Amino acid sequence: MIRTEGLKKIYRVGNEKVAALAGINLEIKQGEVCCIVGQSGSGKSTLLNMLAGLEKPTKGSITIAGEKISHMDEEELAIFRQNNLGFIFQSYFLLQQLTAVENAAIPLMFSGMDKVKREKRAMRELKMVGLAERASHRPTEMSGGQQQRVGIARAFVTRPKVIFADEPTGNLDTQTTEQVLKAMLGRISKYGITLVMVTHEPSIAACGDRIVTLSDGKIIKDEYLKKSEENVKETKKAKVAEEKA
Amino acid sequence: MTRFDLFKFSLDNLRRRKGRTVLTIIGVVVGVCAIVVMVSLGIAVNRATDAMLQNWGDLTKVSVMSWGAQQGTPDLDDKMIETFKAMPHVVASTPMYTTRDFGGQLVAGPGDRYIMDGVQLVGVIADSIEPMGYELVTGSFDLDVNLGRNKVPVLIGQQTPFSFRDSKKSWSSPDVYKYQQWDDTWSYIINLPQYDEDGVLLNPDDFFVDMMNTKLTYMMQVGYDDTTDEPKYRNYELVPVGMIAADSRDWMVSGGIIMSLESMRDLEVDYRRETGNRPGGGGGRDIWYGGYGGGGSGDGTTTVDGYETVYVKVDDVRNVESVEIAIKQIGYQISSMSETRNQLQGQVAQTQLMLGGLAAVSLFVAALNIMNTMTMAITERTREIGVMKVLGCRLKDLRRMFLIEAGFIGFIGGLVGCGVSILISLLLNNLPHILMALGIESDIDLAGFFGLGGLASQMPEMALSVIPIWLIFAALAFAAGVGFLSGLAPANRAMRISSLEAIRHE
Repeated sequence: MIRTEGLKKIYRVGNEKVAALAGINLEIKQGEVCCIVGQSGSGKSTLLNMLAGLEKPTKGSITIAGEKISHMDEEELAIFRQNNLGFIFQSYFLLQQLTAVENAAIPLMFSGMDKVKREKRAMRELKMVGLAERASHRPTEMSGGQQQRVGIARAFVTRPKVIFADEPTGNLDTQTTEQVLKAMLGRISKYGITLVMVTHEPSIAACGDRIVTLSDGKIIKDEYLKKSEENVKETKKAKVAEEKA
Repeated sequence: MTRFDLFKFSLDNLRRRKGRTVLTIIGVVVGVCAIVVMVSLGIAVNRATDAMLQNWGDLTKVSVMSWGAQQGTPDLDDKMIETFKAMPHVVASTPMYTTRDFGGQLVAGPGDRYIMDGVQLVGVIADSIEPMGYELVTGSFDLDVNLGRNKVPVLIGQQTPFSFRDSKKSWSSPDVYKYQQWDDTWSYIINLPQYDEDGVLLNPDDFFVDMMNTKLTYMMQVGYDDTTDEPKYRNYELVPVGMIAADSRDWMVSGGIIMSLESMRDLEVDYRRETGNRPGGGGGRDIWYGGYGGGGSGDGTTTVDGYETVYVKVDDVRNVESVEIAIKQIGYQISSMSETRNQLQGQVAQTQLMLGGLAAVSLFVAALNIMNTMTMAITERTREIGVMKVLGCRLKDLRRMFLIEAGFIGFIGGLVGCGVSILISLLLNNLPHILMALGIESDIDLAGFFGLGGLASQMPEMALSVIPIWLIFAALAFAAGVGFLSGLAPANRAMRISSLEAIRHE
């Protein structure tokens, strides 16, 4: 589903060149939940931005669903995102002037679907994340967990091939983290969507099928996990322990 | 995005920051008002000018002068008239020839009781009087009939009958003339002779003489009797073929007696034979129509032989200028109401341009305001824009969104501005009434402000401000266009915002 070849990103800081990514070769299969972990500055966010087409690589190529997105212009990328990609952000990034259902329907609005049809779909997504009764609330009237679940509904509403999540639970407490992870992961397997998630919490990374560890712009570890319901519970325990510590 | 979504999204965004939007719109309202009111004043003054000139004279008539011509210009004679007639858009050309050779009086009625002194005989080219634009009250234009010796076919001006006096009354009697009637604005003649289809005078009591149906005797004075020292006369019978409707712009015809140039020439030849006089006019040249002799003047111009003035009628006001140019190229000096109008309008346009410039400045400031508002909106919404881009919003939709916002500010400003302008216009047009109602004495002369003093006194009912429908639409389109243009730069900026930078922007 996703393939990168010799992906390099070099930033110029003054006269010095800093390699944020130093040649990443990665292949992620369809339906895989791939977590990218690493210290801050390891290049994990850069990798995600690049996979999502938000940043151009200095060298190398990215192919998603058979299309080379590293060579697309902004307009082509916009359409590609409409059709293939979903996004979940750490700070939710809901539009303040819109209600939950309108927020969830936004990607469909951008692709030109009429209001009745897209809000029906968005409503279905909100039900799935347990927020049907909040449909007409605005972001300011909702808790962080609720907002992130609207964000998840928004990511799923287009039935994308790939969803990118950047620290999706970073701003949430333990209990809501569990709710949000459930809402996310349950639906991934159901639709066979590929999920690429960046996190710095090992307990969350443990929920995935695979953990790719980055350091200094290189993959230093790439391991597949045995996927089970247990992992989710473990995660919860781990996070509780973390908070206590 | 669908058009509906684009509009809704943009308008929602405007509503989110009501205060700023309203202030920006007020800026546009002021700018639009300034421009619309200025233009409306200009339109009103131009209309008044046109109405005034229509009263003064025919806009499609050009007068060609014999004086003030360039050196070497050919004579203003019958040959030249043919040249004028051959020009494109010229429908007729004729002199209005009044002789300087002889004078006389017209007598009519029982015992020649009614006398017209100082009769104004006008010679014209017979077949051009109708195309020159004159209208008949009764009869025909047909001056080209041969009635025999001493009988002259003539056209009577509708006002001419007023010139008879009753010789039985003393000069001091109020009844010596049948006076013309004026209406209370002193601009309109009423009680002119009216005829029915059979040529019967409908208001005979208003006149001493029904000129169309009375024998008219013209007494040409041909000197004095050697023994009695009384004036000697040679008599002609004037036979009216028609009466020409009065036109306040043309006293020569309205109050004169019109005959063909040939008839006029016959009278002059008779006069010369009777008196042995040479024809009038200088230069010693024996031309029967008696122009001034060609003498140079200090400013390099000359007065050519021929008619003093020749009139040229053009088919449409729009073609007057091209005909004028063609005639000027031959070398003649001309004068026309069109030319006067252009001068007046030029004067108004200058004032208007100045005021319009000031108005344009205020609209320019409004445009800067819109630009500022939009730039601020975009800065505020940087993160939102980034998120929208990440979620698949296309660049052209993003751009349209901001352009609609800016255009809408302009459009609403234009709409309100037009409304306010209409109110101001109503206020201006009813200013005297309003001031009167408030008990304020004032003497405001906006026409004078435009350098056309006295216009208001000539046109008491003139509107000060005229807002035609096209002006409303033009103002709306203009305001929306200004908004749109002001939005271009900020919208392009929004497009260039990097989505990555934007979502990092906290």
